[in-house]
Amino acid sequence: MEADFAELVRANESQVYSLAWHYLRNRPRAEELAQDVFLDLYRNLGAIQSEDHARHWLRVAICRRCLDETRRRRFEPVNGLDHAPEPAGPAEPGDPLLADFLERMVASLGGPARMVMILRYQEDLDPADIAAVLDMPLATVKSHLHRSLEKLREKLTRKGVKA
Amino acid sequence: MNDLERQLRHALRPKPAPPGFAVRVLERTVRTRRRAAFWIPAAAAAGLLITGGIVHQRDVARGEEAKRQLLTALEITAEKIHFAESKVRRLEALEQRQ
Repeated sequence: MEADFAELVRANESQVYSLAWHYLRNRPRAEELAQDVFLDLYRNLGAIQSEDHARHWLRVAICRRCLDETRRRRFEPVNGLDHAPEPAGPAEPGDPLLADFLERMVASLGGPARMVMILRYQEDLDPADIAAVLDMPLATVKSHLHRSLEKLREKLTRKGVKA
Repeated sequence: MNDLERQLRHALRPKPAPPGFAVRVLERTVRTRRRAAFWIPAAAAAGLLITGGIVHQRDVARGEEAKRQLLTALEITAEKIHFAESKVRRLEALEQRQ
């Protein structure tokens, strides 16, 4: 059991930590939440049927923890869009400045919309899967995605960035 | 997929967990197990002590009740003996007079 658990941690640590990091943009808090979620998994290991099940379980658990964190208003990411270095000119694929700028813009979205975007572009989930993870109507997920992309496009255009 | 979505996928790509993350998680599970290993027997011992205390209290109360009942029974018996004795003495006095 211990060996299985250690293997599950190693296989999923990046996914769980990244979800928390992209959502909170605070390394110590992201690590703390990620550790809490793995500890919960350890306590519920008996109910886990497969590696895929564990992966799904961890994804749902970290999303809920992150959303709870902002619902309780204990933590809001420091977005600091004004302080972000601005990319200039047409975006190159993999441009680190643009990537940082986009990360900050996603972090500036409201809690549920931010999580929908992270699940879509970090986890590569389709809207139906996102709806299942967040226990949210499919139409709401689609609407969050649509509005968030529009907002990002608008902000990039205003900054004169072609993406 | 358009350019913006490609850029978003790149910007939100998974990040590696901080170095030593897995070790720290495993250490926390060990600490949790140790705490459970201490608290479960401690809670069981505390439960036994409390139960023992309750049983003892109940036994003491029962003993007190039994003692009270015994004393009442002895008082009643003493009264009856005293009544019988006085009756015998009265009968003996009558016989001596006759």
